[in-house]
Amino acid sequence: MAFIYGVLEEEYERLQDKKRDYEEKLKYLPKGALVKKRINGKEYNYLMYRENAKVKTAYIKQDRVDEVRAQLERRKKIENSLSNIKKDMSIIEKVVK
Amino acid sequence: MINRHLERQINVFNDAVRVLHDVGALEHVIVVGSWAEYVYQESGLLDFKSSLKTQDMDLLIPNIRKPREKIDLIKALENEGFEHRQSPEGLMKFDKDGLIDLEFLVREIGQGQIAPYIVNSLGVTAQGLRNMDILVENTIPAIANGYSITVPKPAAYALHKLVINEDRKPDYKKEKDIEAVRNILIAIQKSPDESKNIQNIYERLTVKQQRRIQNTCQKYGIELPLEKELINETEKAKNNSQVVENRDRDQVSKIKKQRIEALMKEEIPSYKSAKCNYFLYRKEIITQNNGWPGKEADIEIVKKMLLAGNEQQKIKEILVKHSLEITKKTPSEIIKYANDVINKALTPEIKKVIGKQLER
Repeated sequence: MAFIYGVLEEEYERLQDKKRDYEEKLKYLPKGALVKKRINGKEYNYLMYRENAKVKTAYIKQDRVDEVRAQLERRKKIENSLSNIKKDMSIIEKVVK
Repeated sequence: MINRHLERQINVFNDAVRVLHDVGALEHVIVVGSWAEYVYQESGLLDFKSSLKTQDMDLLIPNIRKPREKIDLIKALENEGFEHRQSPEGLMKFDKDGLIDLEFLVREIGQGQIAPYIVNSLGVTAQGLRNMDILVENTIPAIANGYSITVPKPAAYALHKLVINEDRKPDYKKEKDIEAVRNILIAIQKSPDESKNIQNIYERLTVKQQRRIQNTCQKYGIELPLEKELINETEKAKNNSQVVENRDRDQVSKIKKQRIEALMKEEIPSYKSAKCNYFLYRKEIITQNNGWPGKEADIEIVKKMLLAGNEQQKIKEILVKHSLEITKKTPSEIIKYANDVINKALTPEIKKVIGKQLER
């Protein structure tokens, strides 16, 4: 059954590759949440996010709201995948050690 | 914990099958690799417990021209939460929740190619692999989780693993495959249908493939459930073909030697082999310029090769292979470079001349 170590090593490398890919993708995706602010009776869309423990907001034009929302959802999915990848990597590390 | 992980992986596998079914692509692919074993188990095709499943879910496309109508598989998978990734060579993978990598394979025929194959009908790229005919020609539909999934017959799956064993790298993959074969052979022997299948499929293999199987079985002490006579015939054929092979090899090396000698003397500069043309023209340019002048020279060479009747695909392969050897560029950069050179070489005048050549 020694081949199992080889299989695990290959799986580990595959996970490392994926982790690198996803971390790179996350750099280009916005983080935070979309919020609406009412100013002078009119609603405006903002992206609220945290930077160095400070909460910041950025104005999002109405025609970009759907795009940003889709990007935030994609970020969430990738973060979920990354969390699974890290868990799997830690399991393999324990087994191989 | 491992069981929960496997459960989540199976859910992602089922999601992929559902997407393929919904867009009409499921009937055009064959599930191969370790996930085929899961289908054998789940469908009841074999009475056994599948061995180790890896993250890669391999889908073999038997005919890259089918389906005829185009399917936007990338979009369908992305809508289902699959993340589209691409290797530097251009090979596509689809991952969901970091649990499964969906990859596509095709049969590699002829001289093969370095770059992935483009499957226009599904809008994806696929890796070309040899010896896939055994799987493509021996498939069976299996019902798993409510979907009819095409898989190789278990006997074909086992024989294929035995045929490719000596080429598998790194070594642990050889052992992993042997474990899977042992596991599956026990189940095949319990099934009269599959026992018949293994006999039939083995008989239809080429002598070379049968010999590879016998060698692998001998190496790992595996006894195939075949009639003894059939094995003896393979042994006889093995001895006969060895004699023929040695004779052929001598003949081929003699011809090769003569060709190389002729080329060295430049007696046959119009030799039509793309590889020879490329290096002959290259040599000419280097001599004329006292060195390699750069991309423009490659464009000139490609023009000459096109006029000499060399195929575009072949020219691209040679450019890529040679650039891989002499530069530090990444494969994707090299492929881009080769495409660019060929596009620039294909001037309207060249296209016109090639067109006339083809008409003739």
